[in-house]
Amino acid sequence: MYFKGNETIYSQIAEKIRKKIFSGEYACGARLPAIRDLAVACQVNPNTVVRVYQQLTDEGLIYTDGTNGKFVTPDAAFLGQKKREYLQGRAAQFAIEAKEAGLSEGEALALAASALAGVFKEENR
Amino acid sequence: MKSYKFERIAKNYGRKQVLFGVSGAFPPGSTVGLLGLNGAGKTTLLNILGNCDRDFSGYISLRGNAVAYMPTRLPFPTFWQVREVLDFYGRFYKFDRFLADQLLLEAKISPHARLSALSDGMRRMVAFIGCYCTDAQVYLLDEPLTNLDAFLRAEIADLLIGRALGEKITVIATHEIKEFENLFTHICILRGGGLSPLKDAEEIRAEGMSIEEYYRGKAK
Repeated sequence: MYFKGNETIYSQIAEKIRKKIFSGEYACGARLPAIRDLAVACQVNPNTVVRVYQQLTDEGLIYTDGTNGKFVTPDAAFLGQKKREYLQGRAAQFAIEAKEAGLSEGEALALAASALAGVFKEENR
Repeated sequence: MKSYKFERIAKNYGRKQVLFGVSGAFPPGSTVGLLGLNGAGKTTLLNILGNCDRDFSGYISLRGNAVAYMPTRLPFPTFWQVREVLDFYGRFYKFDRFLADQLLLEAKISPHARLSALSDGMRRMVAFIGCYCTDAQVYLLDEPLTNLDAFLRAEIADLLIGRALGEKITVIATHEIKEFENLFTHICILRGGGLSPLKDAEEIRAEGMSIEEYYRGKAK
């Protein structure tokens, strides 16, 4: 896995796993990769992975079942809420960027609408 | 386990003073990148920490067979066979011979080959295996990737990752920052005969710098 050199590794891995949880690749209640396996797969220090799992545990997205490993929380409603919060954050980021670039609210909305239409059209076909 | 400490290490070659009272403390479980320009004294320091050089002044908290060292050059006669090298480690250290034989097999190095018949890269791998299979508290690796092919590099990285959890301390002196930067928990830089304070690798990144940028800023 490629990492940006000037950003903390643990936050980059945490973001990647968060996305996988929200997309359902790591489904509700599913087991996450073992610390050592993920460390080898990402070629990072396992202590970094420990920190990633700690962070995600603090956020409530995952939990530890004794020595069985780490699992995605089985609480689907909670996951749904977290997903919305996450996407809301990304949308807010877009809003700020659009404003900084000098767009009006209507123009930004049109951009977002056309992007959404472009992505969802493929599915509806 | 306590930190691995060394204090006021000084060393001169004749009139040339190389280390001017180097001090450091590495916490348990750390993987430390020991960086520095050519001639900064990395190998000199590791030779001292790794029991290969006793002509120095200063204090070191762990000595003897608590420390395993992979030097840049194997200090054994070149007519020795690989298995004799491993026998040697087995005589002086608590040594995992089973693992060593397995790693040799994976690296496709015959235990009956003479050191003189091996390529530089294979000799480096033998040195790495000797160090890695030793049961010690501190592992010192001096440029472990030099002359190794992509396969053996990956093998070494995976082995180091597999063991980085726990209390053991690994110190890697290297110029190959890119290969190791995500493995380091801490960085320290040898420069002008002194050692910079230990810096947390993630803290460096949190400040918006890559390890390489940090090193470039500090090394000169």
